[in-house]
Amino acid sequence: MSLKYKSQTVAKPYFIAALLLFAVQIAFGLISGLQYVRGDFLFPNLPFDVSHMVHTNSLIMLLFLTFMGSAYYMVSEETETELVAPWLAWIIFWLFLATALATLAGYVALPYAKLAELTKNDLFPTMGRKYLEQPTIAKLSFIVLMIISVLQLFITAWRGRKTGINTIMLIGLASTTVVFALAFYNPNNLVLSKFYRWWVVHLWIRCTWELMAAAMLAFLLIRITGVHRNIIEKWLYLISAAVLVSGLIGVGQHYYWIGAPDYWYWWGSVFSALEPVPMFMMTVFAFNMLNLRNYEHPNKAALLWTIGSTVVTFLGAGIGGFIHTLAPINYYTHGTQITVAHSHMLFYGTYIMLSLAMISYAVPTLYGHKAKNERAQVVEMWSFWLMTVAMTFITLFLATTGVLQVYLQRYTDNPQPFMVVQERIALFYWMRELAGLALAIGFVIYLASFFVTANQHKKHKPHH
Amino acid sequence: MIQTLSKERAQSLFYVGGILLLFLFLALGFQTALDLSSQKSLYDSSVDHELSANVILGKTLWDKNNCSGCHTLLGEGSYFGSELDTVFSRYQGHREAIKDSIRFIDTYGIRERRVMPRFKFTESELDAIVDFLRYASEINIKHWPTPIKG
Repeated sequence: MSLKYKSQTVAKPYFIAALLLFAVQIAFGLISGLQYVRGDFLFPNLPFDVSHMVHTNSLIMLLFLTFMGSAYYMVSEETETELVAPWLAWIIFWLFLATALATLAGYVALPYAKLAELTKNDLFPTMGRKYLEQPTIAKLSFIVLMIISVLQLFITAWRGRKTGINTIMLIGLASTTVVFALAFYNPNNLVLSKFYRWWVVHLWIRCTWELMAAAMLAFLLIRITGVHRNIIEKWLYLISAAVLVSGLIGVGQHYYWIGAPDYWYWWGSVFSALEPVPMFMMTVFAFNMLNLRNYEHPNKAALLWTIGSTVVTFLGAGIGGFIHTLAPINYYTHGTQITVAHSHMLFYGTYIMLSLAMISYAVPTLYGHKAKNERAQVVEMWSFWLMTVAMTFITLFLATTGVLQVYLQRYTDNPQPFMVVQERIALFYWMRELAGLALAIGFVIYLASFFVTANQHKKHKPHH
Repeated sequence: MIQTLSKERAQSLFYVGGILLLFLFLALGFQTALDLSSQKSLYDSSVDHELSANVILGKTLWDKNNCSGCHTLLGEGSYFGSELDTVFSRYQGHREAIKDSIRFIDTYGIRERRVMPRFKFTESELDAIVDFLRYASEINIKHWPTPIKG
């Protein structure tokens, strides 16, 4: 058996539900992508704001599920003890999933204003801000469940071996929850409302989630390469330090044109320009540990996702972000498809790919194997390439629409109105949609790889 | 360089760096909160500091109907419908024209174009939305974006 502690199995439902929500995210991404070029597709039953909201919210929910699932999987193994009260993790899971599905169903079934009335948003208005559209009561449910989960994990971690991976993972999960609580603050002053919204969204993406990503990366690299913990955790602490040093004040990159004071030009530009540093360190870290590896781990697919994630993170989130983060450039690109292009590569490269790496590593062990059989791994590696290349094309086509939009609408001497420009760049939205279809096929292949059986003709030793 | 560094050193670097930057971040954040609550840095001097009840109602309606699910204000939101931070100036402050554009959307049923859902706003709600859009257009965002074409 490859599973070290029985209670690690509580991670299983979290991973499965995350994959389910990823399927939802892709499906609704395809719908909203098509609505960009066929504006009345599914209208008025499923208007764009709804399909797009399901697309972004299912992403956030699936990432929370993988973060919690990964934490459950990692913490008991790192602590070298069974999880405290594993049944609690199951209750948290079902309530979390129920809240998530009820929220998404509410979006689709009801007009948003109806949903707001039904959930008594007036008592404590938090709805209607991008990424934070969930009804107030759903936000409360998520936060309470995450607090219980964090406490359970802290108590578990306290009772055994203390490791750097546990420390960073739990700091990441706890601070994600703390930051989420700021979503309850929605002042009437539009500037302040936008100002504090970024304290949630930016700090998640560039600080608290990134700490968890670094911890997950370190956990995977220890298992896959066998490099000594001291070396791995030294890197982990250095990367985490770089995350906080660049990411916290990097929030200023969102404050140039929303009415915040002028000093944010400098704070935002300088610190967000440093944001690629921790991502570059992750890439160097992964390749260095691979070179130092002490054995060949049979799970090649998990290794591919792990290494691939760091590369795409650096290129998409790091370089892709740097291109439009300096204030004079952002003057033209703020609020255009350039942002959309960047966020696709960022969410896919850092968070989806690393989630899939963790799932790819952990799920076979949860079923008592060290890795999938070789045929299944080959199929999975094909899905890696198809999905990653497809997302690269999605990003490139979106970046093309962004450059054209910036030029036609803002940069040229003869600027055109928004909708005129949107129609002129439609070709590239069509291409993005095709690339999206390829990504969907890639994900179907990924899911199928879990069901590929070993070749019966070759006598195959199962990895037990 | 990294070879000579010990894990303990890296660990202290994380804690010291993280805490220092967290304090700097919070200090900057609260400085901004102070700056924004004083009138001058926020609006052009011509605009009243206090938000009127109508502007607040407009913001509530904006949030409650998920307007940012399609539109942007100050460059934030979604990029499906036109940018609305400049709508007040584009319509040259013509309130009825803005209200009409909300009222009569999708009346003609033209195929394959992006359509806005029809909302059932009352007259006073429409006024509140226009007041809110006016307030948004008067926030001093340093002449961003250059051309007023949303």
